[in-house]
Amino acid sequence: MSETAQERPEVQPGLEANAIGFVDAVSIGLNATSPAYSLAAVLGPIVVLVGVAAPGVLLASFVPMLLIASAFYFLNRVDPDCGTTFSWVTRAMGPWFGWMGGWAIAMTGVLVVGSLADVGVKFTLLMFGQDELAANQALVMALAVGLVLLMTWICIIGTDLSGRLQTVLNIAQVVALIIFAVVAIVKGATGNGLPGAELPTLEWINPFAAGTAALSAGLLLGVFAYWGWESAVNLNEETTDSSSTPGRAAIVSTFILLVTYLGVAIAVLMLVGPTFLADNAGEEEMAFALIAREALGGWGWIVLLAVAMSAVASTQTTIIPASRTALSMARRTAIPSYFGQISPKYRTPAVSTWWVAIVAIIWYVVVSFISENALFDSLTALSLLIAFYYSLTGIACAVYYRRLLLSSAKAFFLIGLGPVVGAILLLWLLVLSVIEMSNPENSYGGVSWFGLGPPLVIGIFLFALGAVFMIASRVADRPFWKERPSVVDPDLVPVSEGGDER
Amino acid sequence: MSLAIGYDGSESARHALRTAIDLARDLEESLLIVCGVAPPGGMGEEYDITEEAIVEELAPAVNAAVLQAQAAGIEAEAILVDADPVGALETVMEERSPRMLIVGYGQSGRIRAALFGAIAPKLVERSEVPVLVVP
Repeated sequence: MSETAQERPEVQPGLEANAIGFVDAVSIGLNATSPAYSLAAVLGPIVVLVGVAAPGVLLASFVPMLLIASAFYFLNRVDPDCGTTFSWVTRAMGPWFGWMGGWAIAMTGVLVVGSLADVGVKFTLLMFGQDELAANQALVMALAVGLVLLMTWICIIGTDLSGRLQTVLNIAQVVALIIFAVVAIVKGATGNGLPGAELPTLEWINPFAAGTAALSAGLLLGVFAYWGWESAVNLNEETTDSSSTPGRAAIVSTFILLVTYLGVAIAVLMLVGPTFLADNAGEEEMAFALIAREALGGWGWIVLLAVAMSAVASTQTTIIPASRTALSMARRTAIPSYFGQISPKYRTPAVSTWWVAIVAIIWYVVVSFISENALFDSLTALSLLIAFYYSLTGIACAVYYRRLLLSSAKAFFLIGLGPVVGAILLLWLLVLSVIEMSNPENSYGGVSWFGLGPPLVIGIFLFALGAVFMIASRVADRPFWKERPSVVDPDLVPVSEGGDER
Repeated sequence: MSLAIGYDGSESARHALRTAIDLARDLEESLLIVCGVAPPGGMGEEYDITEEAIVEELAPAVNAAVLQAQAAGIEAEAILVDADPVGALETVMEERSPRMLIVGYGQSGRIRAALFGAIAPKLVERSEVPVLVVP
C-alpha cells in the first residue's frame, strides 16, 4: 500500500470523466460564445455596415468558423496537452509561428475584457432604469475597472459559479433573446414596428447584397460573434457517454446559436429597420438597449439582464484562457518563467492572471480616452487577431497531420482541406479588411490615426509589440527556440483516419 | 483501513496533519495524504500544463508531509488526484475506503465561505464516512 515519499506522487488522471451531461455540454458551447453580449456588441455595427444583409453576413461568417472548429477538434484529440493554438502551432510549425499565435490569444483577452466589463456595467445600469448614470462615461469606466478587478480576483481565488447555476444562466440568456426575437418579429409583421421597419426578403440572407468592402468588415465582426464556439467541439472524454454526447451537444448548441443570431438580427430589422440603427450608430451597443425596450416595453429589462449577465460571465471565461496561455508559454520558456508562477493557495496562475487584467485595464482606459468609437475599434482590431490565430490553427492542423491526409476521404476533407479552406477564407478576410482599413474614410467613425483606420493601427501596434517581445525572447536564446516542428503520432489517430490506433 | 487527510501545505492543513498523525498512531492506521490538483475553472485551454504547474508547486509539500508522517513511525502514502480538493477526497473515499476523512477548517473567511462554499461543509454533505474537521 505505502510507497516511499521520495517517489514522485502519481496524478491519477481521468477521474472526472462522465462529469458533464448533455444539457451542460450544450450550455458550455453557448457560454463560450456568450450570445447576448456578442449580439449587443456587433449587431448594430454589422447593420450599419451591410444594412439589411446583416442576417446573411452572420450566416456567412459561420462558414470559416465551422471549418476552423474542425481543426480545433482534430488537434485537440492528438495533443495530450489539451493545449490551444500556442501548443499546436509550435508543434506543427515551429516556435516562430507558435509564439505569435500565443501572443495573439493573450492579446485578444487584453482587448476584450475592458469592453465586456463596459457593456456589463452599462446594461446593469440600464436594467435598473439609470439611463443617465449609464451615459456618464467616467462613472461607467470607474465601475468597469472595478468589475475587472473583482472578476480577476474571482479568477485567482479559483472559484466559479457552480456548473448548474451556469447552465441555468446560459439557458435563461438564450430564452430571453428568443422571447425578444419572437415579440419583435410579431410586432414587425403586424405593422407595429417603427417607421423604416421592413418586411424580410431573400435579400436579407444574401451576404453579398451590400458589396464586398462592407462584407469583409461585416464578416470580420461576424467571426467575433462566433469566437469561442470552437470550445463546444472540444469537450471530449469529460462528458457522459463520450462517444455521442459531445457530438450531439456541439450540433445542438450550434443550431441554437445560429437560430438565435439569425432570429434576433431578422427581428431587429423587422422592428426598427436599418435606418434606425444607422441613425443611432453613435450609440454603439446601447442601440440594442433601445431596441429591447421598443420591443418589450416594460419587460425590456429581461434582455438587458441577459446582456449584462452574459458580459460579466464572459470576463471570467476570457481572463482564464489568456492567463493559461501565458502560463503555458512561460513553462515552455517562450516568455520569462516569472509568468508561470502558480499560487499554491488557490492553484491558479496568479501572476499571469494579474498581468492580463492590469494590461487589459490600462488598454481599456487609454483607448476610451483616445478613440471616439473605443468599443468598435477594439472589437475590430480583436477580430483581426482572432482571424489571424484561427487561420494559423487551420494551417497548423493540415501541416501537423500532413502524412495522414491522403489515407482516407474523411481525413482529407475534415483534417486537411476544410481547415485550410477556413484558414484561407480568414486570411482573405484579413487582407481585405487591412486594405479597407488602410483608408480611414472607410472606418466606422471616419477617424484617421496616422492616415490609417484606428483598428488597423491597433492591430499593427499589437503585432509589432509582439514581434519585439518575440525577438527579445529569441535573443535571450531560451530553450523554447530549440523546439522543432513535428508531425502527428499515428498511434493517436484512429485507423479510419489513417492512424494506427486500434 | 486507513485515515485520509486532505492536504495542500497550507497552515490549516499542516495543523490538521499533526492531528492526523497523532490519530493514526493511536488507532494504528496508515495515512493517505490526499491532494487535489485540478486547476479551478474546469476544463478548457491549456488545462494539462496548468495542472502540471500545480503539481510542481504542491508535490514537494505533499512529499514533506509523507516524510513527516513516516518519521513519526506511520505508514503514509501520497495521492494526487485530478480533481478539486473535495472531489479528490471523495475519489479516495470510494477507491480506498478510509475509516475517516480529516481536513483543516481553513481560514477562508465567512464572506468567501458564504459566497463560494467552504471545503469542510461540502465534504460532510458528500462523505459516507465520518469527517474530522480540525479547527
